[in-house]
Amino acid sequence: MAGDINMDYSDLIKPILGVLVIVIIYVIIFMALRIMYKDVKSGDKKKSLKKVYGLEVISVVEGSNLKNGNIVPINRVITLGRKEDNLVILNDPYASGYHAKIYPKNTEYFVEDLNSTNGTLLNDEYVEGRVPLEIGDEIQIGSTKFRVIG
Amino acid sequence: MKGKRWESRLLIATYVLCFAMFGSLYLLKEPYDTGAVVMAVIICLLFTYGYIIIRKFFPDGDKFIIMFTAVFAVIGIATLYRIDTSVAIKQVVWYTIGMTGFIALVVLLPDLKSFGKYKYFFMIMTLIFMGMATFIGQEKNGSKNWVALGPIGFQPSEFGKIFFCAYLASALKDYKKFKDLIQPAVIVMISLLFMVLQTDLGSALIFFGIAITMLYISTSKSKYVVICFLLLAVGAVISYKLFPHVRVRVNIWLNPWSDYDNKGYQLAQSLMAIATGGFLGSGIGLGYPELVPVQISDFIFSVIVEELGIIVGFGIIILYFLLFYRCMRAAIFVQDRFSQLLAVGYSTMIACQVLVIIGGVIGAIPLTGITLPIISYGGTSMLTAFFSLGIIQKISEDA
Repeated sequence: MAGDINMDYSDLIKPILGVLVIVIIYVIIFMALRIMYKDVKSGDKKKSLKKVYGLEVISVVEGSNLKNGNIVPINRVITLGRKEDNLVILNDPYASGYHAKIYPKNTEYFVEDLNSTNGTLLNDEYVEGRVPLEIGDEIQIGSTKFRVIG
Repeated sequence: MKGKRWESRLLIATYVLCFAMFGSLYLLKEPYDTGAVVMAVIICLLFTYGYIIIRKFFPDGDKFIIMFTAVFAVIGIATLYRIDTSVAIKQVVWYTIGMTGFIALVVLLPDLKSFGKYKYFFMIMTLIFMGMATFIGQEKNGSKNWVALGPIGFQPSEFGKIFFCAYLASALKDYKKFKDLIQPAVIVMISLLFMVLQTDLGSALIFFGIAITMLYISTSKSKYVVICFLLLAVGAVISYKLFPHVRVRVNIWLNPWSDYDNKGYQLAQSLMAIATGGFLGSGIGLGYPELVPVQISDFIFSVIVEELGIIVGFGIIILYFLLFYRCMRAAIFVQDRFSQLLAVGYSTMIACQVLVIIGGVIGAIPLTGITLPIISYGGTSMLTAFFSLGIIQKISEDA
């Protein structure tokens, strides 16, 4: 007898689970589309970084538009170079047109040399490819020096 | 932060799907099958672990890729469990290995840009894997595409695909004039020829799809695409005349019922399974998957449709489309040319595979035996799918 009751019980649940599978697959599709829609609408993606690093100017060449003690927050891709369309324009004869970029990625910050003529120095070593940054690191481009601050 | 809440809801929905499917399997047997519940818990733990790692340490990357693979893995493993428990256990092992590989790639891989210069390495690997089965292959399910090295058996063309995309991406990234296309064209033709010789027509179709998409993305000239399709038409006619197995496939496709007992058997059984399932399906455990041939890999879609209905079939196709969209999105936003072409190649690979096999089992195009990515049983196909998705995940971080 007990077995019979059990059978009824599972016979009742089976179709419910069947319908649930169909419904949930479409719920997943709907949710995914909804998140993607928001993502398309908001356009520029927001960084979920807790700590924002900054660049402090610690040494400049004469006639530069930068001053010692200036701070550039790294909340997006920062491009550095002599050309006008860089975010940080360096009036430095030893800087290339597009010299380097500094950007946040995942939970870290990176500096990348953009094949500049004279290279980028990180703590007196040449940067090859992209290198992660730590607080207190010194970046030198031509005669201009920056320090990474937290 | 609002986005994060929706993401965890998506995660919960996947758990519900997992437990609904395995719950039905649990009730199926007398006495109740506790193995199914254990299975469900293992799968949930696996993809949650993967999701948390991506979410916590690589928040710039795409979070959908891992979610969609989780849905496919749940559907696939539950279906395999229904057909044959031992196969499902093996598949869970493959899923674990695939997932581990995916995470390992994301954690360990340095900047992808630097791989663009190994063009000749990719070329040699492509040719080795493409040619391997022609010379030392064994016949399996009508295709000579299986290689056994000692105890390990695998399908070299699956690994060939990975290198094929990498080669094309590194060769086409510097495209400037027509002359740059000659070398890749020769390699593509050699690969296609090997596939036809191995009677692996499905893979040949996928290689063609990958090559033509990457060609168009890198050159943006539609005349090349037209030329490629004309060449395809010529090639198709020639291989129809030349190779008997191509003729057989086309004739089955035109009329599966004329030779029902013999050559058309696979497709006819698959069509009948789909038709029996109807819109809402017969319900888990109430279909007859054992009547569908090769039900654990090539024809798994027919089995799913029979028991869960064509409505779930549509859902799966939509989910594959969304996965493809996420992969292409990474390609659109990334700056580096090599990464971009690589992402295009791998996402086309997955999309083509889905189209070719689903189109095949529903009788829309001639049937060629390949696997449905992540859902089908198969170690090699699982590994290649996760490998290529891992690369795309890495690329999406820069996007």
